[in-house]
Amino acid sequence: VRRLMVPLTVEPAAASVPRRLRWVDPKGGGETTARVARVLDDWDYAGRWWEVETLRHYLLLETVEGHTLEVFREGEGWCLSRLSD
Amino acid sequence: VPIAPERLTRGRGQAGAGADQAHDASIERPPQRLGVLLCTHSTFTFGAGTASPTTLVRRAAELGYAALALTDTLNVTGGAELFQAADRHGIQALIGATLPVRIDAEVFPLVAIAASRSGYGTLNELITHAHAREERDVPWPVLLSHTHDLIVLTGGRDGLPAKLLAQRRVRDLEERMRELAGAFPERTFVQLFHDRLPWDARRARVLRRFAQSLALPTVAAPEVKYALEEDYALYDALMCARLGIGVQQPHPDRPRNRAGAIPHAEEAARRLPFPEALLNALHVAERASFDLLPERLVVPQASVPKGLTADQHLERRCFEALLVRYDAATLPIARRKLEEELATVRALALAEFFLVAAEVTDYCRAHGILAAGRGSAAASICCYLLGITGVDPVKYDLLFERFLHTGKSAMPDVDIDISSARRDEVIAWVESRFGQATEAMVCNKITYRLPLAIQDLGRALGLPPEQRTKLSRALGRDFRHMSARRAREAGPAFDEVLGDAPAKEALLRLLERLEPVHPRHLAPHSGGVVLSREPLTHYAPLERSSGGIKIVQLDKDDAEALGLIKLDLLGLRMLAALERAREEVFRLEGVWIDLADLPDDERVWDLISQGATLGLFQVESPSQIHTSRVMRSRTMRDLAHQIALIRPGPIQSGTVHPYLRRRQGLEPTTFWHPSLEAVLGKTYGVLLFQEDVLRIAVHFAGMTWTEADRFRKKVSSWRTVEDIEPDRQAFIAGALRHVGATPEQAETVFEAVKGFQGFGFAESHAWAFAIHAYASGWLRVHYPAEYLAAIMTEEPGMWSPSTKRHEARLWDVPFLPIDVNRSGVHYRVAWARRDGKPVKAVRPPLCAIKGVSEATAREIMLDRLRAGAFASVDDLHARVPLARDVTEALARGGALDALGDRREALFRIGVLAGSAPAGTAPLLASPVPTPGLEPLPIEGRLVWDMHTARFSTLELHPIDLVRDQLRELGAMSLHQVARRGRGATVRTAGLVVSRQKPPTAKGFAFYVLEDGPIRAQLIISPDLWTAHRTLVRDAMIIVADAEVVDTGYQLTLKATTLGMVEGVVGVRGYEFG
Repeated sequence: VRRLMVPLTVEPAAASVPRRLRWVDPKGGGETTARVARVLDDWDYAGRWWEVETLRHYLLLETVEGHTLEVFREGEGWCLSRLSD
Repeated sequence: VPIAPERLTRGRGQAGAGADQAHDASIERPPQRLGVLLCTHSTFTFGAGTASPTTLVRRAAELGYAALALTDTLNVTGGAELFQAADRHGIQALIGATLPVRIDAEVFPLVAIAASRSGYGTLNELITHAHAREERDVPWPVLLSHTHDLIVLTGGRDGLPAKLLAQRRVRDLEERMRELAGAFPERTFVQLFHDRLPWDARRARVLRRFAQSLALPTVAAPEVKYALEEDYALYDALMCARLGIGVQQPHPDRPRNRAGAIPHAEEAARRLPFPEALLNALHVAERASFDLLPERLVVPQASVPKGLTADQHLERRCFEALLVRYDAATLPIARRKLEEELATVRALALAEFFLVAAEVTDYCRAHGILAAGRGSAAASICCYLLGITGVDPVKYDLLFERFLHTGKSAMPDVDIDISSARRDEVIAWVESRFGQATEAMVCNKITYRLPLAIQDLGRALGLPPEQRTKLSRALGRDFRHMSARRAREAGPAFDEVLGDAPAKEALLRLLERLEPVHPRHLAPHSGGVVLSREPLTHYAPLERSSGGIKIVQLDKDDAEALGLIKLDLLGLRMLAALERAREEVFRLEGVWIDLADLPDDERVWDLISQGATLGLFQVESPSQIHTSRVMRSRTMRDLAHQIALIRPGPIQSGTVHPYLRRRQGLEPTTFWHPSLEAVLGKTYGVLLFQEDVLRIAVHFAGMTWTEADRFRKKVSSWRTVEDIEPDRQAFIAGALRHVGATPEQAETVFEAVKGFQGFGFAESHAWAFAIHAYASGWLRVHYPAEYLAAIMTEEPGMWSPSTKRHEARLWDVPFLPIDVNRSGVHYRVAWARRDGKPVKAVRPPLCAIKGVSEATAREIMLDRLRAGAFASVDDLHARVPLARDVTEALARGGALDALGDRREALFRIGVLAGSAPAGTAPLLASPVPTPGLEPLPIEGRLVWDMHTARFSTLELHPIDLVRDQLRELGAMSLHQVARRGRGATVRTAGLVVSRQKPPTAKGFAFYVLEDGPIRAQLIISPDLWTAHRTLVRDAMIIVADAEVVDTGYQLTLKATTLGMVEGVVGVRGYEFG
């Protein structure tokens, strides 16, 4: 499992569960694309309300290629937090 | 019968939302939404719930839920509010509780819901059991033996199945679940939950499969801890406060998201997509359908002689006393009044209630304990004849219907004042008389006011204790009584202490989200006792307060809502003082004073007329002192009126000045309508008592007593004009019809009645208090030393010991010093000599010194009696095993002055502490000699006295310590001001001994400045207050330019400018508003 914390581009853009994901690996390498096969789990996180509150909705996704991705949405932005390959 | 999962589902569930939508053909339409909330916590799960039962019900109704079960942890205090709110919002209420259940060393929460009224009793027994244990939990065997009409849910994330499955202890779990299902057949549900945490969906499926394997039904029951998602931060902060940690510190009990809010019903069903679990939630609600709130009150069981009914016994007692209390002239009226009352009591089946109250006062009389009924009960001739009250309602023409009438549905209010020194004795007797299980104090819900909320939430946010305390103090009189929700109005105080700290905004946001009435914990009521015929657990659980007092988890309103009658046994310090003064007189003079039968004495009325009323019951406040001088009361009726006059009701309705002017003959007495002369004749045409409103409603507006009672409550509590408009119309129409009033007259009377808002006395109550007030004045006149010693000991009223000590100079009662060889446990009167003549003086006790307990004072006294006076500090050290800090306190407080100077005594104590343990004589005399220390000057002795005993027996006053500085400022003493006439402009100063800013005073504040035995009331205008907010909050000594408004026993000054001088010692005086 790799911890990435990189921004994601999702399609469709407004979907609560994306079908396709794109990101750039921070350790070099180009853009990676993944297609979502199914949602394995989802959960919410809230924290640090005493500063600027963080509200995230997490998805654990299985890609068509068989990888597992942990992604979250915070506000309008998406982030890939962990990748299991 | 609950629906088991195998009836409804095929095969195992699959991952993802909606995967388990498959259902049995027998269910035509599986639910698409959750219909019932079965696991809900309110603010009564202290520190782990943010919404009141009302807020939860309102939100649940908004979201379309059909029912809500309140399941607070070991608490059902929200029950009455829940059922009332559910009735208003049209949903079903269920009552239950979360029980921490102990299995060996582990504790698991389990939700129990009452299936019936008797099941509610079972629940209360379990909660009571838990509260009786140090661990505050229910042992597993106890749970399994208390099963009657309870439905159990296995708990959420920390529940037994979820925990043991996570630990893979399946066999263990199966065994426990079989035991549980055996004890609660067809009433055990495996609780399914989803907290929007990782793998919760899978967890729910596993739980469901487990239930299926044991053929147990499941139920969808998300755990609700607050109403709205936005309350999550407050929930987390309160949880941190409860855990004693800061928000930066992680803890497994803290929430990780906002899932504790009431979910949307469809969302809940989507998260727990198990048809049988959703249907079972409805099924539980159906089974647990009952109304907690009864329609009638249940009276306690009185002791009635065999062969008599309670009604007969009551009648017999009353008629026997009637012949003793009334003479031939008054007997017919009294008999008629009694017969009418007894008919009402019979109709309401309240005879036993009166007899029970009489049993209490009988006990007090038999044991020499001063006790007297107060409040509206004092208008009852039954209460008077039974000896519950001391006011003759025939003689004073008091209105029984304020207390009771046949249309009254609310609890009759019998309040009995008992000498505070012996109230515990009475309560212990009540407990033994009525039984442990059927008697308890009602509780008070201690709610968050701003200072307390700042302490708890500020701690969670990491504010250090000193900063929290500083902030609480900075609130001052302006903000500290505010509800926490209005915290932003106290912005200046927050800015002053927290500046731009980020925690400030976070704290304000939290405070604003607290419920308007947000309970923090339960505490015993000041005197409310409930007595029931059956065990109190039929109504609510019992627990012990932190002080060890047994309380029932109901406040007075909830107790009434559940059908219990409360009896108020209130500790009254003045009664203890009267009792103590009487005993002191008997000790010194051999005279026993009958306080119930004191002669009418001109000297007492002279004293009251002069306003020399400091230390007297109910008439000692600065405003009462002023009123005394204006009213010049000469009769008990005057005194009762005087006591009732200075209350928010009469003040806000503008009664005070017309009453006083008319009484003085400065303006004519007029009536709004001729028919009101009979009602308001004795109060000069103005509204003074609660009864006046009732009488006007009946005799002027033609209402029945029932309607009038409801009308009185409405006019005393209305908020908006719309609230009261229907009552206005009914009142005016009634007045036109009943007495032929014109619309203008009716409108005028209604406006006057409407203005009688806030707290006003019942006339009967004022009379009851007037009797005590007169008794206090009588003792003050005839036995000032004994009375002073008594009020110094019992501390009734508003004035500090220091102020009373200086007042003693006006009473001509000298004070003797505290002396280890003469002082005891209480203030006593001792003979002294002045100018060669014997004079009674007051000797303060050893325990007047802070840090010296009554037990220690007794120990010293006993040793003194056994072995004679102490010859030296060494002698005291050798004979009495006192802790070093106690001996030092005695030295600092001057109790060892007779053995040598205070500094030398302290040196000696230090030396002795290193030689032999206290209470043992050293083998050899201490080799360390005491050096010749400079004796402590008198100013130093005053400061030490004030720090240790809050007063000094010296003639010096704290203002004397800054006298030079005041002279330099051109401030004259209050003594000099007293010689100036009204209208003079002066600069003066005084020690602040009282600070009042009553909400009824339109922003004006009233401070009392003291200089020796002279006091001045300083009136501070709102503008001056605003300009000097910090000064008026913090000043020990105020220097003011002022106009003299009144002279006499108490000066009255109107401030024009304010300043302060740093004092050396202050007085923690009376504060109000």
